[in-house]
Amino acid sequence: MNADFTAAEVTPQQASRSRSRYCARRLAPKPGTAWRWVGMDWWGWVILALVIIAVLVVLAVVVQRRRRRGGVIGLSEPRRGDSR
Amino acid sequence: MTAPTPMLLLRASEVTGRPVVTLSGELVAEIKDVVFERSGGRIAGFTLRNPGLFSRSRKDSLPWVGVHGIGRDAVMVADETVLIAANELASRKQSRDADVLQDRVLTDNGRDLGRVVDVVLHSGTSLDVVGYEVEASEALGTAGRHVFIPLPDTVAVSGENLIVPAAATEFVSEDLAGFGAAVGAFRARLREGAS
Repeated sequence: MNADFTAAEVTPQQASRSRSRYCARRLAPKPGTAWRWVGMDWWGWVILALVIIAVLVVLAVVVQRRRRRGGVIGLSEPRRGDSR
Repeated sequence: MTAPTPMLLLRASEVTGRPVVTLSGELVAEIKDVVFERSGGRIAGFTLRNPGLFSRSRKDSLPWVGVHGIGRDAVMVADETVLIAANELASRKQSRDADVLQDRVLTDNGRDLGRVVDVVLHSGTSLDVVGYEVEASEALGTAGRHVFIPLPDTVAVSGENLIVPAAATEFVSEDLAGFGAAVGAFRARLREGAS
């Protein structure tokens, strides 16, 4: 440890700058990671949101159509509806 | 020998989705499922859903006794009082588990004829199941194509496979127009065999 470097010699501005540089280093994207998309323009976000909404709507319609598709139920024993 | 009586046939899928309308013109519901009695093939009634794409199933159903008439575009009922609670016609479990669509059709000698894609109904004084439309297997020589298989007067079926007499393979029809005659001939053959 450098004996000359004492707390008394570091001004508050220097300490703040040091902290900022430390944080910037921690948060900076590492080379090769896919952080570039964060910097997408606003219209990119809008298009992404629209695509997600469209996919969800299509999924909902497909599920609902499948749910509404009629079936043919074969009863094993006679029930009330068979009294004619 | 008399000529077979022409049959008015329709697919179950043509009935599902039809609106249920009262004689006073009120739209009550839409047909959801066709419910039939496996032992005799007679239609017991219909489960219902509310009209509209995101509508839910209804808690009431339409028994066959409550049907005033089945037209090309609607099922007519006298009024809403003919509807009964849904579980009186078919329980929720039956609606989920007893659907014959996609079931396998086997002959009584163990040949797999294919999977049911629709059910053929005969409309007369009552509505009866007279045949299955199946996606044919290799056994029928028309693999992948949709063909119609006639059913006997009494359909004795339980379980996950639908069993038909082996003689039904001789009366397989490729179009619904000629299927009525095939059903008549098939049933006549079975009666001859039984007597």
